Amino acid sequence: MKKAGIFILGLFLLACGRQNRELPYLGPHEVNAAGDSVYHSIPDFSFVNQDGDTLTQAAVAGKVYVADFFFSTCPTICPLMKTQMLRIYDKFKGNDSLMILSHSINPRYDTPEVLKKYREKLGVHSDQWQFLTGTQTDVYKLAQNSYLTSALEDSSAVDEGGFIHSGAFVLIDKDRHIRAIYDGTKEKEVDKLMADIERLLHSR
Amino acid sequence: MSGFCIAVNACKSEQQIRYEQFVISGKNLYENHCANCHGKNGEGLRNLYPALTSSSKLGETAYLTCLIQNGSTGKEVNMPANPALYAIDIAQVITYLNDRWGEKKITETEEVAKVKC
Repeated sequence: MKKAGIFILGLFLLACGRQNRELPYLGPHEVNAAGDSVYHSIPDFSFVNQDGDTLTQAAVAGKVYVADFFFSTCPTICPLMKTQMLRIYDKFKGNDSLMILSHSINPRYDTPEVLKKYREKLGVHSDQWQFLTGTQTDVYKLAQNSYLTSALEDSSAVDEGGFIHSGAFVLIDKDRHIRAIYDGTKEKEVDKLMADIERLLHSR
Repeated sequence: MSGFCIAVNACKSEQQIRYEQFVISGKNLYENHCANCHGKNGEGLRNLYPALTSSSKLGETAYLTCLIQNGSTGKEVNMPANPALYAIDIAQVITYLNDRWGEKKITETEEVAKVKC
């Protein structure tokens, strides 16, 4: 009897432990006609990368990826974000199952040529890390509606370089669901992000 | 032990105390205005933002004053201007930079104020 009690307690602990390790699905949930939960997912997209090539959702199909929003002339949080993103890049370099998409929120200035130079100066040469530009409307809509983060032009934000955006790193799973959002300016948050990437890479 | 510290502190010259004040204020200014790009420890960011740790320009007060005040354009990566910094702020930043990576000597506010950019 005592043994059975311990066994059941053990099962409970195991179950709780599992639950804690599972990342949640972020964003609005819907219930479809069959009664199943449908999680928020990143819709199809099309942007131009640093080489002038069109990049769509096909590039991240079946992959885990991290998305962020920045602009090349940003004097405030972008350098901190890029320092942290480089840690992720360095750690997962060579692992094609992980990609990074950095979207410029100042596409008027950040042309593919500008992004190409910026990327080179960061020492990024792998296709795993793409720098994207497009129309401003598209990128703002993508940030706010798809990735649940913020990006806005604000000429009064002089110290910020004329734009307001969050320093978020958004973690997307192989099925285009948002699984977590981190502060990309903080080393500790990014430590956690890297552990969560491993977890998603090894799931299913 | 604390008696010893007080004794040592008491021996510090006024000049030494002023130097330390410049370094401490300069550190705060550096962290607020410079460290995002150049790094908390002056390490820079790859080839995007230059490291300051081995700069040969640290002794050039006029050059640094104009660079900090007006930023730089024309290169591939621009440095933003710092119109909010007064001569005393710039002097403190330069003193801090030199304290860490250059020659440990004070850069006076007057030296900065007389620079014409």
